[in-house]
Amino acid sequence: MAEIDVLGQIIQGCKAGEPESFNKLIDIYAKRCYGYFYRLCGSSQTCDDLLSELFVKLVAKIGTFRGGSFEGWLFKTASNVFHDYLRDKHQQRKLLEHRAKQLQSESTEPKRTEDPQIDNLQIQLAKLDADTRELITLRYYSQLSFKELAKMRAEPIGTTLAKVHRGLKKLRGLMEQ
Amino acid sequence: MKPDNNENLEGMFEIFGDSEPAQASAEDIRQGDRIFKDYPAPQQPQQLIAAVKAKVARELSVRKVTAFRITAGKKVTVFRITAAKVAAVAAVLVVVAAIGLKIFDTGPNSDATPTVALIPAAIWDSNDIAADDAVLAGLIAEVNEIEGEALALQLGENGGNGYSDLSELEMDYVETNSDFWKG
Repeated sequence: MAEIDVLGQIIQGCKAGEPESFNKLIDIYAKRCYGYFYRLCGSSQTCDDLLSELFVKLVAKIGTFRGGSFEGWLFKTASNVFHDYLRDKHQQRKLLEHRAKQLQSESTEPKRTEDPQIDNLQIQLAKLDADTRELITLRYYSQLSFKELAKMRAEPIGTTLAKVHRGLKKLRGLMEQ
Repeated sequence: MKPDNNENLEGMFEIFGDSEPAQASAEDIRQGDRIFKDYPAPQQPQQLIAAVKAKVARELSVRKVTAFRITAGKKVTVFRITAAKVAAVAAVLVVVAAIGLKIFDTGPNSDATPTVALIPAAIWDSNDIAADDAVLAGLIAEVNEIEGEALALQLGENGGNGYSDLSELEMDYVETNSDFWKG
């Protein structure tokens, strides 16, 4: 409960336009938002831009948060930022080319990081359909309950539960190959 | 992170699940969550965080300046409306006073106390006040100048300083208005 009170105070500070409050918000949520964007787009450069755009957008939109789950509101905004990015046809083409390279390249491609398992997860995620990939990524990084997820996606909770179950089961199968 | 969010997954699958056993389905979810935990996304660079904070700070300062300009613009508009109302009331009072003097004027041979018209007859009959009364023309010019400055403030011209320029303008108006009534 104390955490909720602290977050409430930070949000009030953000609504009042206090830079320190926004800095605290960034410190709390940047890691999860960055992970969410990274798992969706697979490009660190794009991820940097999306993270930047998200928090700048929050400055304008924070006044529209009327209570309830702040994580739900934040990640809904993050999802909108990602979809706005996808709508740019030029960026969409680049993303498809990048994914195609990911799917085609195996161990012969030089690893971007020293940990090959990160690349494997990214590669296997790319094999899922876009909606499933976003849903299971969103669920993990937003830490929202199934009820909150279903509400955000405007679908029945049973539908969300089934999609997440199928998606994670398929992902586990791909990772074990 | 707490991916399962302490939810009762078995309970949910018993209600919403399909043909698969609830416990097996719940375990599928937990194992899938473990994959994300075992393969974490790259850490965001610290310089990125600093850059994001700087962008947010810039955005906040831009929004503060914009909000101030909107407020100053509204004040100039209110000032112009008020000035127009005061000028209208002053004109009505002048007209009423002039009519009153005409009504109470009983002729050149009257024993009534001689009066002096608030507005000289030459001005009252004049078609070109600026030419017939230099003082009045000067006051009119000052009022026009003040109106021009107010418009410039509203349009953000001449590098105006918002609120302080507005206060100075209000003082100019009060002074001019006072001079008008002194005659």
